[in-house]
Amino acid sequence: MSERLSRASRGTLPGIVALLALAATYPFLFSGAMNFGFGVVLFAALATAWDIIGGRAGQLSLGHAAFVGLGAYTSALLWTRAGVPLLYGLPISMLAGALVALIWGFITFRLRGAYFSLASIAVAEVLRIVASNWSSLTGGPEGVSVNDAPTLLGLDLYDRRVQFYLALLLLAVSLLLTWRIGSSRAGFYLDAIREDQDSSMALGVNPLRMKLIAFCASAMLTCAGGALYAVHLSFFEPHGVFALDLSIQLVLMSIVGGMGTVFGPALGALVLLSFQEAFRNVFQQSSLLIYGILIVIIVRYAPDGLSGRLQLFIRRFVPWAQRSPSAR
Amino acid sequence: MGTALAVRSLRKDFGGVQAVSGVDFDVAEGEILGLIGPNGAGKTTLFNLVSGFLKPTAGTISLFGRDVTGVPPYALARLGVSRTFQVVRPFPRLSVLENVMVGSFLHDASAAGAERAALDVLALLGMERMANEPAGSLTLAARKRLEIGKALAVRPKLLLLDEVVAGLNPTEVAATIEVIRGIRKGGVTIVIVEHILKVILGLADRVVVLDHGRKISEGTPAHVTQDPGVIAAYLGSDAGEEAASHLRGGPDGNDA
Repeated sequence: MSERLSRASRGTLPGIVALLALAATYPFLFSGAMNFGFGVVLFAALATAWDIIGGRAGQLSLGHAAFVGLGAYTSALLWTRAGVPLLYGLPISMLAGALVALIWGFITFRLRGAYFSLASIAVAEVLRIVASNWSSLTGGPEGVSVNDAPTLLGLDLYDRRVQFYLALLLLAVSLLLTWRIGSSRAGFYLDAIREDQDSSMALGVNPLRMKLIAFCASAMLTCAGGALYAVHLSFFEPHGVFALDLSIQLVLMSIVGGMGTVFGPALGALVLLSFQEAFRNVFQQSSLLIYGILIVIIVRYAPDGLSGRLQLFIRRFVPWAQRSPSAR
Repeated sequence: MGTALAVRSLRKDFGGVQAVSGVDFDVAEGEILGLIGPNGAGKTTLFNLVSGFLKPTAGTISLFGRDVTGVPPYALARLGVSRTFQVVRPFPRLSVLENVMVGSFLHDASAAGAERAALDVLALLGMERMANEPAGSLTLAARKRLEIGKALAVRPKLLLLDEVVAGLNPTEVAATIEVIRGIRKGGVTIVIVEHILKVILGLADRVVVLDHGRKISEGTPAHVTQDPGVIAAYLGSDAGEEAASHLRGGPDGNDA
């Protein structure tokens, strides 16, 4: 690695490990604020997963709540209706996500630009309407309660700490995958598609295939997150997990933190949820207002997201995080 | 020598307009074929057909004896066809090196290997010192050169160059011509579209002249420039002034 010129930002892996280690201490330090901690870690994972297709491949999905909801419903219904434990329910829900992503992507990736984004809203809406109306299966608009004390490998899933560490595991997988993609052929191909799809095709890149792979990876991680979210909420309804707000929240986290970067989406989740938490008691229903103000500030002062700014800052003070020198 | 590219009765309609109508030509292996014609002659459409970006309305394209009509661009790249774009299309937020690596990955799945291959291409083009610059910040001349670099990275057997010298100053033009000659020496077959006739006449072994989507002449540079039909196409219409500027060899605006 050390002789590589391209993308040899050496601090990335140590950075991921340090971030995860730091986050792992949270339950010991703030045991009274476990809901907040879980939320940040889960949304950091979801935003990181969104960014694989949205940031890196540049396909602005505004319908990722479809996968959050799909993961939540699939795993919860498997447990409450068929007694399938999360150990199996989670991978099954991920496969369901991959299947939906393949079908959805195969149809909509032929549409370029705004059309894909618009179609993605429709997909999430269709799933929401199905979940609301197929009452015999989903419980309809009243939602689903997960109240049979689910366990995973003997761990009590009602335990907030267990939930936290499962979310952290998902974040670890998402960050490591993003890091690996970044310096691999797939990452270059996705970058090329985002930057100029025609030019990428001339160089042998099959855009449909690459986008489907990225979309599947993103969908599977998001479904896993949805399954954890269902356990955490223990009661949820279609309007919550399939909401457009939720989809947009993931997009905004990624934009605020920095699209197409390893740490950006997670950082965005931390910043946005912290603001939301801090102002929750000041204004009711204020999150959209806060988000709006933040977006304006970010777009004005850090158009590439916060992580780029932070990186410049870190590079200045941490010697090993320097980019490798440009000459061999 | 075999035939690298054979185009037969190729036609492309856009609505009621025949942009390319019934064009035939062959390109021999190792040859440089020039493609010229006044604005709107169908040169770029023909390029887009041969590189797979457009599907022909009728006719066939074969590559080294294999029918590749309607094969998409990324599959053609694997078969040894690469192209540059008249309006350069770098990946602006990637570095120069990373731009070229995207092409190198076709033959080497490892990042380290692709990087080595890309550095070789940059060395060939004298661009090593720009390796880490973002492509979006390059001058036009450097972007045009990067465009060639990306196309070379996929190690083409047939290289389609679309106006790679237009807009360059005379020194840069001369340097690019040397690069193209070097590529041909490496055994690559080249089809070049160029607005500046002087460049084509100096480089090409043979020239195909298009006008209004039809082939109106074909032969050595000396032959086509004396063909009355070609002269009429350039001078006999309101393109006269444009043709005069070509013959002076000055830099020109964009092709249709």
